[in-house]
Amino acid sequence: MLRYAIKRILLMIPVIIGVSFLIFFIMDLAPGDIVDIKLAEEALTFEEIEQLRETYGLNGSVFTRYFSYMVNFVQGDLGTSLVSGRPVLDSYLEKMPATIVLACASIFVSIMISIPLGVYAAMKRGTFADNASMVLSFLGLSIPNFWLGLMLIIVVALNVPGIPTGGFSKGIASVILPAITVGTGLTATLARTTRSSMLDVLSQDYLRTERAKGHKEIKVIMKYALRNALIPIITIAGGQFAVTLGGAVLTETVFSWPGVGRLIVDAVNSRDVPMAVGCIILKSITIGIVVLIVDLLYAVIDPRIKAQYGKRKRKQA
Amino acid sequence: MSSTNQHMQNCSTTNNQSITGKQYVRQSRMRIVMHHLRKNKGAMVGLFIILAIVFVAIFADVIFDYDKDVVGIDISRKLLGPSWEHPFGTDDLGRDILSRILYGSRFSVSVGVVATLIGLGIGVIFGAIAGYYCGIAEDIIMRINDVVSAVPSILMGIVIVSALGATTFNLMLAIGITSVPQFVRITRASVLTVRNQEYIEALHATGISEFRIIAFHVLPNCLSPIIVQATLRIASAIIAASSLSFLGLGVPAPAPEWGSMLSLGRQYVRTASYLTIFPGLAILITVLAFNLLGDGLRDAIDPKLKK
Amino acid sequence: MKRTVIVTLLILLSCSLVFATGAKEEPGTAAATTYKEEVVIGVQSRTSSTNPTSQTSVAHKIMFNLTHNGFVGYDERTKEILPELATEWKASSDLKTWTFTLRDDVYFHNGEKLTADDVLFTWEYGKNASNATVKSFWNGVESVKAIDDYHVELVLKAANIDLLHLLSNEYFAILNREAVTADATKGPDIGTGPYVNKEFFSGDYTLLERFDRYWGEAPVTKTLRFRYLPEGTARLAALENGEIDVCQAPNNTELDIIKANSDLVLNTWQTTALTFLALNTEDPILSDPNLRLAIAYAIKVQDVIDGAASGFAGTANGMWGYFQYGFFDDWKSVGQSSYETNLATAKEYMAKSKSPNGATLKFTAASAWTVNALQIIQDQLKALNITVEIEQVDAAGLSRKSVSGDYQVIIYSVTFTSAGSDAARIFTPGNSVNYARYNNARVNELFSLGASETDDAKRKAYYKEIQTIVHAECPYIPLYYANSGVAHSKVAEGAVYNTSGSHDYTYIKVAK
Repeated sequence: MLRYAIKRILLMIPVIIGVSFLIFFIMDLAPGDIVDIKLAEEALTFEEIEQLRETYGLNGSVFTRYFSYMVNFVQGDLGTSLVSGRPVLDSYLEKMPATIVLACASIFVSIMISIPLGVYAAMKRGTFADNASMVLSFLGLSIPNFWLGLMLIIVVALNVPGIPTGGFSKGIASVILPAITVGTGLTATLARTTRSSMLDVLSQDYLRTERAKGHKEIKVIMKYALRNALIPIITIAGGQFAVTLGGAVLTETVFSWPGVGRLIVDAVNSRDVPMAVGCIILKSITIGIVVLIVDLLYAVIDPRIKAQYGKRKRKQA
Repeated sequence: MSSTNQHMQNCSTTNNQSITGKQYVRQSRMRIVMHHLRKNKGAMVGLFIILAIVFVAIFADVIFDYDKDVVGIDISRKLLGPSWEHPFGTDDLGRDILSRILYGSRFSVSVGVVATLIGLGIGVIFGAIAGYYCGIAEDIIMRINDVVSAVPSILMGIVIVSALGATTFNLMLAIGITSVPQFVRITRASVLTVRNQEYIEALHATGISEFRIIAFHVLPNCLSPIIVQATLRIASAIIAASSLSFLGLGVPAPAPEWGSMLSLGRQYVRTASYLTIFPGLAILITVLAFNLLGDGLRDAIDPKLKK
Repeated sequence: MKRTVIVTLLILLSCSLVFATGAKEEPGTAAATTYKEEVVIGVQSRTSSTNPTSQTSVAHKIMFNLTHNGFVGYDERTKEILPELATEWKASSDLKTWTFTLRDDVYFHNGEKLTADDVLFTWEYGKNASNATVKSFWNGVESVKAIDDYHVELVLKAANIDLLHLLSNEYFAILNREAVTADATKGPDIGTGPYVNKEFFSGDYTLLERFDRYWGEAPVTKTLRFRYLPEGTARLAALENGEIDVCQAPNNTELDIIKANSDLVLNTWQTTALTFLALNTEDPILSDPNLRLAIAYAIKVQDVIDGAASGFAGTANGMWGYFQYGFFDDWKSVGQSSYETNLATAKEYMAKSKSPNGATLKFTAASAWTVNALQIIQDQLKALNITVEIEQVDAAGLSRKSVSGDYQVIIYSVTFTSAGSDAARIFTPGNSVNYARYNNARVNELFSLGASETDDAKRKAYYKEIQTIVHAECPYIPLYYANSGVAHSKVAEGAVYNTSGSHDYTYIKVAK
């Protein structure tokens, strides 16, 4: 287990190098650079433009620029934003609290909707109720986030006292609407996973035994079936949590939520290379670590998986 | 050297011997799948809707006068609510929303489907390789996968479109590539569970080539999560197209596309909600149809779920 | 199953009760004369810095106006230069040497007193400012000399009649030497304005607190909070919900909602941002003025305004700001006509052009909203047999194109200042905003003559000649000045809303 964890962490190093190079290269391919962005706001002469490119070090080849970026990176310096002049790491960490709160709340919403829905659908397998629940879980996925967000603002925030239209500084009430917006988008996958995982478990013999003992169906489902069906559900939810930690751009825009999603998109749009590269690296690290933790949890919960890690290692050897 | 030769020989002999038998098996399996599918009402409804949409998309030019109904601007009739004349209302440039939605199915459905197929095609190949051959191949593929999944879809869109041009196919490509990592992960995970099953190990013993084992024995048994993922992905692809086309990275104006119709209706959410509701419903119905069909297919193919 | 439904309902009910009770506010019984301690303003643009020498956008100018002061201010309504840190000024006859008298009662937020040395420091600092506009201005100053503590002399490298107009821009604020020397990153935040930077959280809010040693009249409100609410619909909802007191730039599509709400007040005005088409005069097809004029006469601007700006815009009658020094639009007096829709004239020009049978042109836009305008123009130009292809790129892509010249027509907006010389950036070569890539020797000459001319009548004559030349050659087709506005609660008062968008919130107060 420990060896596996260490291996996974070591494997993140080539990923980080790969990500940094790919983003650096792609940002270079994208038309325009930070100076072009400044041009849109400031009237410059062509001479000044050249001068600015020189100051930002945009004139070298992409490889030399990448190399000097990585030299600093290895020393722990992620660089400073070309737009605000602030350190990239500070800007990213500043947005983390809001991002973490939204990610947790969204997963909570998603679980609160998907698990009952998935369990119910599995119990009513093949009926109209089954289809209807799956269609319901599906709504969140096919409704665009910005539309749902705006609707929630207009319908809920304007009519229910105490629920603000957005912002992060208003306490727990402010996370409700953004979390519903993001969370409902996640329900389709999670409800489906719950349903199929429940179906697998429901056909097992031991449940028949429990039923035969005269336990009520609801107790059998909640106490015995759901518990055994949890592992795939946790895996999917964990993956979703990791992805949400990378930010939710549209929701953040609608609810003026200061998360990392907008930070990254703004950096890309303003061709702020150190900001974009730095943030995406940090995002990959965050996601990588969360996924690893979920995988380890998974192994801790289910001894069969733990055994499999051992087995696979043997095969590779 | 000698062992590989022998291996290949084995392969070819088994192939020759089993052709007729296998064809028979495949045909009858096909028939069983179709039979199950036909019995599934949901799947049939889905199929019917998809066929209807495809029909409209193909014959859109015949049904509408493109210049007049779809892109013809008439400011004097802008933002009219739903009526007999314009059942879905008119947009901010006075164009009939119903015509634009029906015509737009041409772009949106193809964006959703083609982008998903691109992601599916690439993702399944690499996912299967990663899942089947553990070890270095898996590590390399999964790490590259991690790298690719770190690229934000907007960045991918900007780069692909600026490098290759703002065409519908490039939009599909951009969205397709961003969905590759998901397919790789899901394929790998299910291949992992199948590859250690006894019947696969038994196939090894018969000496069938690994390509054939993967393509004809491992993958068909992994289809169910992949199909589910693919049908869900069509929805995300159409919606992803909406944010990219808002940035000008998609179907060039004035051609109608559901995603851009949605994005442009954003300012009118409160005052003229029909600008967003109807394209939204169009996406919802399409996605639902693909999903119903996908679920039906999954149930029909997956032997485990048959009761 | 029924039980679970009931349980869920109960949970939901108790949740809503908790929120409902938690949100109850005490009824507003206070006397009418008391004002809220904190006023919240919802803004549409993100601010990325609190350092006045680093940003020049309107969103930043609003902040810098509250935290910093420059030599002079500018009243957009009266078009007058107002004294700020300088009480008097004098220019030499060659307009190169300017002497300012500073106030002697001004303190910086860190307690330091303002002296001529701070001006000297601002010049030294500004020469290396991160913002190119600020940097190039201070580099255009030959020397700064502190005559005594309260008298300072600026010597310019080139004569500039519009120096005071320029200096009224918030980003030429005076910084404090001690503050910046002590802390290079936070030091520039320290100014002499009525409010102090308290907290800044980029992408969320900026919090300002009243400065008690402010040299001018003390503001009423203790703290001002600027909240970044990028989505127009959400911003207005926040105002309706009482979360913010002022909503800048509500969506044009939602103005009726504001008008219908008796608790809200709507202010609208025509902005000074001119939206226009720039026709690349270096393009082989568009180098032909007749074709350009044909396009100009074929466009029905009112349709563009109705379709792309929800009808909330004023037509533009020339490529010179209507509020700008030297504006001229009496075309008949010089034997020209304004570009009003006239298909017959358009066809005449088309027939005279090198492509009488039509052309295919690519129009480029940088936002989905301007694409709407282009779609209307695309439809209108079909009458001339001109096929328009629409291309949308992002801001960086558009700028890159403008530098390389790789485009035919661009739709763009520019906000001119009130100084006449400001128009030079769209008409003279070497400027990035000269999207038409226009280069006319006489026009170039007239601009340089205008910049050093002190005689009003002569200067206006130069500018008039520029406008008539440009009108005849048509490198640009002016379209409209979009309207903008501010919505606020009816109890909010004291703010000055300017057409440039650079509002003054110094004395805003909101009755409890």
